[in-house]
Amino acid sequence: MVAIIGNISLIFAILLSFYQFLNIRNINKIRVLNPDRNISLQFFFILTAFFSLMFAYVVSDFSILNVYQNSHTAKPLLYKITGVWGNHEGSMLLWVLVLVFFGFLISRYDKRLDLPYKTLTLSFQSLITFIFLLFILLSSNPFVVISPTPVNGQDLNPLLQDPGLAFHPPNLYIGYVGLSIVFSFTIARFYKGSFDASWAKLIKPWVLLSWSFLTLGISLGSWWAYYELGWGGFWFWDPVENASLMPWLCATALLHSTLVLEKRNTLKKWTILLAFLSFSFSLIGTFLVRSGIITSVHAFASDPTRGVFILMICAFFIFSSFILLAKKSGSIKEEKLISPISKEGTIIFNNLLMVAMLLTIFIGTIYPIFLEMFTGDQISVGPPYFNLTSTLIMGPAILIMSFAPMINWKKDDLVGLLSRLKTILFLSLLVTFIFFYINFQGPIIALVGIFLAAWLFFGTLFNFFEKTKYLKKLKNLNKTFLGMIVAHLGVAIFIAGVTGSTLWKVEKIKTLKVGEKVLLNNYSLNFDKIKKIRGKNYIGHEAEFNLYKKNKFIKTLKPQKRFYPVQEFPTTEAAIYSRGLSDIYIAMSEPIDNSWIFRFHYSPLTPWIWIGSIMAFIGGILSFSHRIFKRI
Amino acid sequence: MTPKKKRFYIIFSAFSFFCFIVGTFLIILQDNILFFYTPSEILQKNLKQNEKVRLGGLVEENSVVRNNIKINFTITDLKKNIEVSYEGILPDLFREGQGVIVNGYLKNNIFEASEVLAKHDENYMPPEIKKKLELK
Repeated sequence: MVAIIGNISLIFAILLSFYQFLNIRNINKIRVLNPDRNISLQFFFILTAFFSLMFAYVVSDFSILNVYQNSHTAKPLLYKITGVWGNHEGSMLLWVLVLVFFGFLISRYDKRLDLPYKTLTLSFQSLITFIFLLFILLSSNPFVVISPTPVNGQDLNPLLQDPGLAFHPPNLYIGYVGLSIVFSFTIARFYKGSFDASWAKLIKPWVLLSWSFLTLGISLGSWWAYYELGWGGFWFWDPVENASLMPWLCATALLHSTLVLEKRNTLKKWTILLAFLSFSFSLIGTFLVRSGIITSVHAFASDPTRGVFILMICAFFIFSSFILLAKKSGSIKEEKLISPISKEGTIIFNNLLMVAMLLTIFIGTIYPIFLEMFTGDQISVGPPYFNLTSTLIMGPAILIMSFAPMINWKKDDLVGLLSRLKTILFLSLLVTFIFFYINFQGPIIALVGIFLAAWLFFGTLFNFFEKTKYLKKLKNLNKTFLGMIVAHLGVAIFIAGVTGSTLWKVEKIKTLKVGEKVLLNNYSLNFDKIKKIRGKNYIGHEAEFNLYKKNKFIKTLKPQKRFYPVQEFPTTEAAIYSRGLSDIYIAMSEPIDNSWIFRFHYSPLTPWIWIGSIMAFIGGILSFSHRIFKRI
Repeated sequence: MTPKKKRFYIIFSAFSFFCFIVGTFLIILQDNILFFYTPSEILQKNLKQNEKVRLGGLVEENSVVRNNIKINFTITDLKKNIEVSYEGILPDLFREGQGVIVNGYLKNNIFEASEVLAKHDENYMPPEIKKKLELK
């Protein structure tokens, strides 16, 4: 029954989306058909399909292959729900759901668009929907039925049975797929042919929204890896992580270049290119993740036909959009030349650095794939490559980022600027020195990281004080400006977090018997007891550690080692004590005789990684909300 | 300077900056590539002293010997075996008879691993291992 409802909904949706796409032919007619009803119906049908799949998961309807392969009656309810997107088919359905949801948002709430432009944009959005629905129906249908109905399912990969998973993919998809609407906006604009400031104003909120959710989605995934994989790291330069970082970098560049287009009416072709690239990279990301070409926890399926199908979708969108741009680029007139000492000059620098980083990550990610294809040699590119290159690129980017928002448009004078930077430089050096003085065990490069973070932090704060006349003019503060301040401060805090977490981390691996203790910085951890635990669908052991600081009891930490019998799969549940400035992290490994192996981390500033990311998200949303409510 | 000339210089400097970055990074890339071998392949290759590589295969049954956090085990591709020594915590899914990948150096025919990676999923064999094992 559920399968029938699901399939019928998908078929209705694909027909509707195709019909909407055909409307492009009628765009020259005097009366343009309003797309609102069609788009709402598409949204309704996909939503129906999505919820019927969710229903099948909740009631454990194992007559559906997808539910059988990824669920189990003993699984907790939350993971029955989130299990819907914990597999290839379901996650593609979520992809399309977000796709039509964005169309729906535009058609209902973006009142700034005139009818022909709106129709055209939504028709291109429908084309994307159509192609992805075709993909789902032909090669990844979640509603395939099996008979006879199995008694119980195969359960979900236990690593994915975690609250982090519940929220990571939907947020990431809002970001990824949100870039599709920017793409549709851009393609549709070629009909009008004028890529002016008003166009920049139209796409800006949607770029902001996608960017914000991409930020949130990536950081949630990184947070999940931090406490669930038991390695104590937050980023591994895994190809799948890179796949999400590439569209993020592109969207960051786009975010800033639309600013130039909006204010100075230039960088048109570049902005169009970035809009195309952003969506292309979210497609390439989907391809890398979903095709099974790379090994990872995200690579659910390794069915080659799917890979080829997604590759064809990528190629179609990328080539057609770039050919369009190449053909039309002659008719797009750029207006002004740009002086290097000006806001637009710094933004161009930001764009170059973002794209350079994008390229280096792209090379590092796909080089192994190509090499294997052509020579058969199997290689992997190690994290040192990514660490070194990203530091080299982000360093200058952060240096400029601190004062870029303060510079005037058009032209500013260098001497005046430098004199304003004196205070900031002094404060940042002071902070760096204090760090050096009170707590220095790491390499020198760590001080550079702290300096950069402080430099950005104070620069942004200075700008805020200047604009508000030292907090006297808070009332009519522009929300877009406030959003920028919050986001940039977030980046500063994030940089400090990354520096502390990667360069100052203290790691100890110890074998302990009950009653023994381990010293970690100023803390002492007493291994108090170990007990057996039993969850709804797992068994395992839980250790209890009492955490003391200078003989003062602070907290009991309980790391776990779980075993999920259905999938014969062990997991590590790290125990983390976070106190704002640092994390104490315990991961439990295996027993030897009477003792257990543990991994301990003291990671300073690590919580700041998430705090900074959340601030960047909030900043983006602030700016978005201001822009979307402001009519042109 | 005429605007045309100015534009030329801007584009030229941006382009050379770009080439410089890409060039530097390709050099860094060269130093950070890990080649992947099976035990049979690694024995045939003449590895340079201190060349870091990846070794993949199956953990041989009954080969794991523990001494506190020092672990020795054998990786096999069902033709040749390599003994591996490692110090640290093994990943959750490390098991005898299952696929594994180690990063490290080959010294006197013993592989000193700095990292041990096991697959994420019970039903899933890393394609790089699977392919090589199927070829045998």
